[in-house]
Amino acid sequence: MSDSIRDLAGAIASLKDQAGRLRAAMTANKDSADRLVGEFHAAGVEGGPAARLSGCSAGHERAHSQLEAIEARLERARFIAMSAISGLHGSGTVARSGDQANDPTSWEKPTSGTELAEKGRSRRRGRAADALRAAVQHADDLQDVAKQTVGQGVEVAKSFTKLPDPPTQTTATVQARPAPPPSYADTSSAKATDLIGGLTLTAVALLTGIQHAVEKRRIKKGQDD
Amino acid sequence: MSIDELSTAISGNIEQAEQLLTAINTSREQAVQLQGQLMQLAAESVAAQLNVCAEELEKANNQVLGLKSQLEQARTQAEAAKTA
Repeated sequence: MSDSIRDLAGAIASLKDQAGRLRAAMTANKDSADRLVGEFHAAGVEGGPAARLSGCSAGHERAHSQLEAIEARLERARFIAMSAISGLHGSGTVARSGDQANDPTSWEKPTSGTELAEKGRSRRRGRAADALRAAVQHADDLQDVAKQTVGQGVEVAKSFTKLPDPPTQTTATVQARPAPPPSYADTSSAKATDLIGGLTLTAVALLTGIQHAVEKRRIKKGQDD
Repeated sequence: MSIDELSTAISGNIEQAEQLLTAINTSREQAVQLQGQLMQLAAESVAAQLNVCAEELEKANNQVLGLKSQLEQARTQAEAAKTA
């Protein structure tokens, strides 16, 4: 299908060339008509054949403008056909086929992650695909780490809020031994640091996960279109 | 170039315009055919683009018809210059 549209675009490009050749031929004929008018004028003939040939020259001038408009329209049609190829690849309807370098209407097709893979792809395209896969893999790994971190964060939060048992023992001396500091006080700073670090990691991981999910949804939507 | 030669040259241009007309029609039919195939593949957006392409070719076709008429008038005037 992609090749068929590419053929159509090539055919339209040929039409434009054909129109260009016709325009050049018409320009030559207009010059001939003008020259004949000049010869009649030089011979002292103003009306009659000179007037007719002037009309012929003016008609060529109008035809010249019409051909320019035709060429512009053909160029527009060709551009639309090429855009259709881009749309075809962008929607993932078909895989790209054919060698772009051999295409007479060669153009720089925008690439997208939804394009189906093929064996003869270029090295650059292969690298880009590998990088994309690696990025997705990293995002998955990060998502797993995020899940673990969330679990750890919950555990730390639970231990942080757990109050120690109050001291109940006293010595026989007159002065009561000061109560030992609560166990959480010794480790609260470290645990708080761990908690903040964990939460930061969680936030980063969650953001990455969301971005990954949005990307996946976008790709899926593009494939559905 | 004589008036006869000019007239012959214009006739050649008219013939070229007719060929262009035929070729544009062929491309237009091709675009319409591809549009139908894309509709069957449920690729409506791409099919719509080809529909616009076919419409542009149809307009170009009409313009070439006008061009041909213009050239025919120019040839008539060149012919008339011989007898004027």
